[in-house]
Amino acid sequence: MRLGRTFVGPVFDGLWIGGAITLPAALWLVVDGRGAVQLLGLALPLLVLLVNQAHFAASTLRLYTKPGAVESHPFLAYALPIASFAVLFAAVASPSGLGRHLWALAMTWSPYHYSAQAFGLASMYCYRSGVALAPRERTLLRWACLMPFFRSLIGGIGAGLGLGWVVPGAWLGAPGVAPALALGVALLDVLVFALPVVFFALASRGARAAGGVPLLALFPVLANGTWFVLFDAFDAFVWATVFHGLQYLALVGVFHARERRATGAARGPLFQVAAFYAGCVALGYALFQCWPSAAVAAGFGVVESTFLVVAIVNVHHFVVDAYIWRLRRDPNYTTVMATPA
Amino acid sequence: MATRIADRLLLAAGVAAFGASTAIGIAAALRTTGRPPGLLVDPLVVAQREFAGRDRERWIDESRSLTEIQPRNLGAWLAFGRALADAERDAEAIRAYEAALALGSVPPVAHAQLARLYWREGDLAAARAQARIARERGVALSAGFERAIGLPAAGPS
Repeated sequence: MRLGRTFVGPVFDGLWIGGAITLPAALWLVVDGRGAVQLLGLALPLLVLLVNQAHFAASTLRLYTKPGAVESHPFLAYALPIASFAVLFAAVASPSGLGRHLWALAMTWSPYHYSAQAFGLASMYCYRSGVALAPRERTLLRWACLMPFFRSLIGGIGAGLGLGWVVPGAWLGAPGVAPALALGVALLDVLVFALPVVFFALASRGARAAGGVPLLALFPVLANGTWFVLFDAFDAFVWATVFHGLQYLALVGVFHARERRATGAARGPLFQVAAFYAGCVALGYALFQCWPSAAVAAGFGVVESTFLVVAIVNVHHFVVDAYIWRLRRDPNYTTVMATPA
Repeated sequence: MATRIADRLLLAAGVAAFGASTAIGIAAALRTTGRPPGLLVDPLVVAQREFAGRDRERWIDESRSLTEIQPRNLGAWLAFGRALADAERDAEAIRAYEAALALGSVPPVAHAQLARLYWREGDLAAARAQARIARERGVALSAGFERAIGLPAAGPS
C-alpha cells in the first residue's frame, strides 16, 4: 500500500485534501455524543463563515481567477449569476411555490455534490499517482462514491428531502414502507464503506505495476460516507459541509497558487493562498449575511430570505463546480500532473 | 461582437446586482442595529427573537414561511402553532399542531399546548387525550386545568 503522489506533502494531502482528518474527528464526535450546536455553541456561525461560506464563495472566485475559465464557460461567468439572482427573487417572493422546491433541490443535490467531489478527488489522485483506471474500475469508483448520496435520498424522505421531495407524505404511512426504508438505509450503510474497499482491492490488483491504487484515492470516499452514516440528519449536514469545505479550500488553494505561479505572479504561494482565502471569506460574508439583510430591507421575511439565499448560493456553487474542475481537455490536468511543490 | 456586448452587459448587470444587494444589506443592518449584518444563525431563532413578543402577525408570517419552504419540518409546524396560539387563533393553531403530530413524535410540552387549545375550542375529549400523553411524558399540568377538562388526578408515582 502507498499513500500516492501528493501536491504539498503527506500530512497536508492526507488530512486535508484527502479528508482523512474526518475519520478521527468523526469517531471523537460520536464518542463525545454532543451535537454540533452544543459542541460549538456561539463559535458555530464563525466556523460556518470561515469554512462553509468561504468554500461556497471559492468556486465563484475560482471561476473568475482561473486562467481561461471565463472564456471557456461564458454562460457560467455572465448569465448564471443573473439567472440565479432572478430565481432567488422569484423564490423569496413565493416561498410556498418556487421557494420550497429551490430549498429541496439544494438540499437533495448537496450530498450528490459531495459524492461527485469524492469521485473527482479519488480520480485525481489515481491520475496523479500514475494509475490509469479501466472503464469498469471508474464505474465501480463512481458507484462507491454515490452510495452516501443514495443513502441520503432514502434517509431524507422523512424531512421531505431526497425522495421525500417527490414522494407524497401519505405514502410514507402505508404498511411496509417504513420497514422497507429502514432496510434500504441499513443496506446502504454497509455499501457506503464496503464498495470503496472493493474498488480499492480490485483496482489495486489491476494497477499492480504502478504500485496499486493510492490511499489518497480511498480517503475522500470513506470520509464522505462517514458523516452520512454516523450522524443524524442535521449533524451530518453540518459536519459534512464543514469537512467538505476544508477539503475544498485546501485543494483550491493549491490549484490557485500553482496557476498564479505559472502566470508569473511576483508574490509567493502563501501570499496567493492567503489573498484568495481572504476574498472567499469576504464574498461568503456578502452572500450569506448581507444578501438576506438586503432581502429583509426590501420587505421579505427573515426566514425565506435567509433559507433561500443559502439555497441559491448552494445551487450556483454546484453548477459552477461541475464545470471548473474538469480534467479532460482542461488546464486543471496540467496542475494535477505537475510534480509536488 | 453582439455576443461579446451581451456578455459584458450581463456581467455589468450581475456585478451591479451583487454590489447593490451587498450595500443595501450592510446599510439596512447599520440602520437597524448600528452594526454590519451579524453572522448567519438559524433564521427562525432570529425571527422569534425579533418578533415573537412585539409583532405577533409578523412572527406568524415568519413561522408560516418556514412551513412553506420545509413542509415536513416538524419544528417549523410547532413554531407556527405556538405563534398562532399566542395570537389566540386557536383553530389554526390546532391545525398546525396536528400537522406536526402527523410528521412524528413531538416534545411532551407540545401535547400539553395542544390539550389547552382543544379545551379552548371546546373539544374536551381531544384535550383529555393530549393532556394524558403530556402527563405520561412528564409534563406537570395544573390541577385547575385537569379539573376543567375532566382528567382524573394522577395517582401517586
